[in-house]
Amino acid sequence: MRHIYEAILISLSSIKENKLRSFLTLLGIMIGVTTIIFIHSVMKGTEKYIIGQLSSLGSNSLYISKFTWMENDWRKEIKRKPLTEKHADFIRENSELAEYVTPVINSWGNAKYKDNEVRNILVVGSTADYEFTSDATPGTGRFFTYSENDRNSNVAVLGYEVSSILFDEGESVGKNVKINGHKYLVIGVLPKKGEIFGESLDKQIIIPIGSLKKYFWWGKRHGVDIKVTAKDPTMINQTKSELTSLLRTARGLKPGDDNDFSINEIKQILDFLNKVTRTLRLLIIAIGAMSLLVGGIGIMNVMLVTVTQRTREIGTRKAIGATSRLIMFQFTTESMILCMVGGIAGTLAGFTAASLISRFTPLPSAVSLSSVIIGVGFSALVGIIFGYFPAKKAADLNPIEALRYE
Amino acid sequence: MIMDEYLIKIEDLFKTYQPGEEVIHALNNVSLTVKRNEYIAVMGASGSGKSTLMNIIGCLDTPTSGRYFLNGMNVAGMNDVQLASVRNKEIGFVFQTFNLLARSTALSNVELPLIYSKTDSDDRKKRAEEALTRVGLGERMKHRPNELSGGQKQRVAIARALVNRPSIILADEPTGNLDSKTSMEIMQLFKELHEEGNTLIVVTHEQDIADFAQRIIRLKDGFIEHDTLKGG
Ligand SMILES: Nc1ncnc2c1ncn2[C@@H]1O[C@H](COP(=O)(O)OP(=O)(O)O)[C@@H](O)[C@H]1O
Ligand SMILES: [Mg+2]
Repeated sequence: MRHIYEAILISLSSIKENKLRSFLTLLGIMIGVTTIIFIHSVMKGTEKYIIGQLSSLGSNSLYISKFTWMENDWRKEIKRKPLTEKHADFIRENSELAEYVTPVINSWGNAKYKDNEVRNILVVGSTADYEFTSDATPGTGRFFTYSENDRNSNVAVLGYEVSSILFDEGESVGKNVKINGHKYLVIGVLPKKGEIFGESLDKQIIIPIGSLKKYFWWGKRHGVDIKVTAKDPTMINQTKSELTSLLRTARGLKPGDDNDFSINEIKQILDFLNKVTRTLRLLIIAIGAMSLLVGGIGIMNVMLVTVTQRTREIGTRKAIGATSRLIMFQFTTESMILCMVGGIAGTLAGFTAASLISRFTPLPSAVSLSSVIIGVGFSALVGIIFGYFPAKKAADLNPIEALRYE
Repeated sequence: MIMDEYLIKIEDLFKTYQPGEEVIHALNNVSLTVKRNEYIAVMGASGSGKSTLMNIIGCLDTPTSGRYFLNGMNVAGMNDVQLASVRNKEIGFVFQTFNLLARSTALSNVELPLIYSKTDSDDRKKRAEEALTRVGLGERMKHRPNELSGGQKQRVAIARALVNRPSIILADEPTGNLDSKTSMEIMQLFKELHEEGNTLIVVTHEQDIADFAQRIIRLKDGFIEHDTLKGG
């Protein structure tokens, strides 16, 4: 105990005596720990953020589309035949496990009311059940009906932001807006939904799919997407297989043919993001480890200088009764303390960097005890490993030669 | 046991160096015994083997051949831990160049041997203070070496040598870096320590310093030329 105390005092005072040298030596350790802490905090925060965002999208939904999400072979998939509303009808009539089935077309447009205008709005065309596949029950007014849908009526449900830019509060329902110059009756306004990955969910308009096809169908070759919710969220995989075989029948595929459509789910995005962050994390940890290595070599160098400078002191200590093991312990502890000072500084710098990032970008950071343990622990470990050789050199000194050293 | 009659018994000690072609006999067949509470001065020209002998007696060095018993213990057969313990408890070394820890206070310097012998902290502080008071530095305990004169530094070193109540105090040219007035004060201190029952061996090449001792061993080219008891 007394030896640890003494070693701590000696290391702190030698840091104080050689401020510049200590700083330069510790820089490597600091950078290493800063990198590790920073990345760890941002990754942790990002993970939480992504999971939070995605869970708002609903985990019992399946998205049938021409393309596979995230990782696809688009050269092949672009040649697929488009999906149509017929396929949606076929699934709706034959599926046991699906609850709601809605064809969806996404498009873009501008909306205008008197002198107010909103540009680049997502215009969604779908059926009356879209209210249930996409959690789109209006806060005021109502969703469009099956008969409005069948008649391709010009009725619109506005996203919260669209409504609040075009109208005074509570004024929108019953008014006519112009969507790309076409007149639409506002029948409902969605409650505020916030944003996902920086993209506002409140800047959208939902209209009957037939109506959309009349005016804004820019992507005819893509066809429609089909959004399906499962009756039982725990049966999502069974639902997926059922939909696959139904669509294969509808498409007339023979056994052994590849699917010419993709059934996507939210989980794919999560898996993909996990894969990306894992790779990134490994990369950054490698960088952190490299700078710790460089820092460690710096520490070893400084400790070797220290041992040489203090050769007589080591001789004196031995003459007074210090064992080799104790000398070894003293210098290893010194090296460890030195590194831990760098590690603590690096931890603080890492947290500062992470919190700055989360202040100025949507990426949040999470300060966790585990990152402190990792940061300080790693630097201590580096101190012990790279202090070992200099400490061994000190411990092995012959006392007489050490005492005679000039 | 017959060994117990003597504090130190050295038989047929050789220490040889061979830096190049020629062999140097730093110690050449030295035999000697030391009784408790003796005060010995070791004299001889530079290079005659005085430091080599002191280092072997102080367990800092090992002989090439020969036997060395300290308090009846065979020093030759000891490992690093045992030697460290002997240096800590049985021997108090005083150096020409003081060898104090520059960053530590006088008190911390004197406490160091007690730390190595795992003395508990209250006792340690008390004994270190006693030792410093004994050498006349009761008022200088919190000073660091660079705030002390040469004579005061050597007093701190003597307090450090005394503090663990060793069987023998070894001083290799303790006044070599001091002016003659200070040297006399230090020798006066050694004389008092001897009178209090301590055993001392002091290396010097000044006759007036050696005159403080009861017995003078004169080395020449690594062997004992004279071993004379004063008044004997
Ligand atoms: N490590 C060594 N290597 C070679 N020769 C040495 C070594 N240490 C001492 N000697 C030689 O041993 C002899 C005795 O040295 P030393 O005991 O220091 O003499 P003194 O202290 O009496 O001046 C000298 O000739 C010295 O050169
Ligand atoms: Mg000498």
